[in-house]
Amino acid sequence: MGVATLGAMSEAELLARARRGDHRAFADLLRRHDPGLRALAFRIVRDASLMDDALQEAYVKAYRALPSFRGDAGFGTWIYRIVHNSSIDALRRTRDHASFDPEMAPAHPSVESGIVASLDVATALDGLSVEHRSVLVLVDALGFDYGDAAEVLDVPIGTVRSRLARARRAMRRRLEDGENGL
Amino acid sequence: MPPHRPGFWDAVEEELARTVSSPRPRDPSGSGEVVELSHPQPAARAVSPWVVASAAAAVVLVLGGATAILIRPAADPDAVATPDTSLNADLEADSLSGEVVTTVAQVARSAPWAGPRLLGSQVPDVLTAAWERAGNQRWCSALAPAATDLKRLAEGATVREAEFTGGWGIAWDRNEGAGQNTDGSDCLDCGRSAFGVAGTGSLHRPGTGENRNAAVTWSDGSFATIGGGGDEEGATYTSKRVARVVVDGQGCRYEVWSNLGEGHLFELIDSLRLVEGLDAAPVVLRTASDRPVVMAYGAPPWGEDAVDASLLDPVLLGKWDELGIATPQLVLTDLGDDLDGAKMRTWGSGVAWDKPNEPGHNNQNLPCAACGRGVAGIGWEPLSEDLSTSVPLPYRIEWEDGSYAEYGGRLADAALPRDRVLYFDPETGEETIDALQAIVHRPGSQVEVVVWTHLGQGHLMFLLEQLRVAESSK
Repeated sequence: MGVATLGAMSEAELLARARRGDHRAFADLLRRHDPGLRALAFRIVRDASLMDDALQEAYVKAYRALPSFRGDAGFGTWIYRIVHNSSIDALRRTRDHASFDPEMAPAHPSVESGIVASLDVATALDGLSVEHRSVLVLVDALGFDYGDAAEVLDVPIGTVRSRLARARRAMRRRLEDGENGL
Repeated sequence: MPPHRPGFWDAVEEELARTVSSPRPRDPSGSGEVVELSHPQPAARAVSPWVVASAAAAVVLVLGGATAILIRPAADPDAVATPDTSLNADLEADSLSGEVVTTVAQVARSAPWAGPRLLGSQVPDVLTAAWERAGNQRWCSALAPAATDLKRLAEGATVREAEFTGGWGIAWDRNEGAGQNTDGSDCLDCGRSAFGVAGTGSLHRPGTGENRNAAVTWSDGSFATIGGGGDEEGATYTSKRVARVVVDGQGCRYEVWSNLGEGHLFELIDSLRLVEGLDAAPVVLRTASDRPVVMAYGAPPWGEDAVDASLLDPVLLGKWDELGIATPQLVLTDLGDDLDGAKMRTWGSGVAWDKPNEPGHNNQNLPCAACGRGVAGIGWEPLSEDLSTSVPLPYRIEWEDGSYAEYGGRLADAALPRDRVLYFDPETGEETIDALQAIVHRPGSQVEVVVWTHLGQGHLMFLLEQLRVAESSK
């Protein structure tokens, strides 16, 4: 089956095909979610190469785990959660966990995506903790509701709410003070 | 947000294609579909650990609760199968929320340790040494990463023995990266204890509900919970991920940890195999209500090799005379290397051994860290109470002749099995190591025999193994 045909399929159809072992269908499914997944991964690891590593690992891991995907959550939430966790793992492996290292940072975040449209905002975001970055990207940039964000982050909804409040406060402070981590 | 590097999707598709390049095998347990192995598994005989270890006496743990008895399937030793031991295949997603639980595995599959055993020459010497010294070797077989996986998993790391009181452990140190300092605190870049495997001194207690939180459950009933990683609010993450693994057929809790990410942890678990010659006796877990943990040890050690009472130390015989103890009676025939040079003395109901600088108890009977008084001992006391109404100590050993021993902390209320039980002194506020004691009953005997040691559970088990019947030759 050609890619063009796959492209016309619904997400549910692609998922069903993927479950039957059609890896191209699964890849197509991933492509549909890839911009948002890329945004999340990049905001966590802050490095283009690491982002790709984390995504590749997450995509393969997700494919292996597909038989255990129960569909209780949407595919989107499920794959975001896997990407989130792979990105955290990738970040840990770099040992760039506790502090922001300008050497590891991207030269400039892309402004093309529309997800993070301002360089100032992007750099301020980079200065936040991993938890704050993740919740801001999910809720404020990608439009996840609190429930779905909680699913992805594997924390209670209340934690999403409080974490988000603290993250927004920290962002405001950084933007106002010009303290952007660089 | 940067674009993908050139060729990213080609690489992903290639990897995905490889993942499904062969027909999906069926789960050997028949419980469901399984996916491909995450890495090649050698085709070999799947020999269940309890089959290999069948020469050893069966150990049965009976644990508080209801009714279930986990009976091992009758394994065909000639059967040939390649078990799917891939844990990664189960990995749905992991958690960083801190407490436990990543994902509940939906499909049970063969446990890694159902795979072929490793030879002693294939595991680090430090593991053999640690296991042979461990106090839990009777119920806690050694597990080690398969050598082929180890090359990849432990690249650039050096292995050493890790201290797990009452158990055994090995840890790999790296030159850098997250790990643990010698005081157990986390470090970001010391590289120490980057990952490792241990059979802890704690016995597993089924029915505590932890398997409800299992991240992975294998087809034999083994399961793992995953924890570590940060506090609830995510304010501080540590990179350490710890799997607490309960292996069917083993009485201890295993710990497997990694500071190199959950992927590394899961690969490490996937690689674990039993080791030829470092076996515990097979353990069957069952539950019973209002009963302590029970270990059935088969034939009692005093079943043969009776001791001629006339050869016993006159001090001991004098004590028996004083107490009115008649032979045949149980005596200790060996105290172990740790008590080499200890001096015997009498006490109210028996004899005790003192050795300087060892833990013991003072003449108020309170534990001391190094006073060396009463490091171990044995006593004989006439049965004076209705045992059916007494509160049982938390652990019970049963022998096939109807004898049994209950054991636990001497003073401390030790609800959990630990090699060393801590006693909290309410007056001084200090914690010291309490003795563990076992009270041995034999059918028909009107004497209960008390054996204690301050040197841990392993030493207590050793002492019980040294009990023999002393018979008068007259």
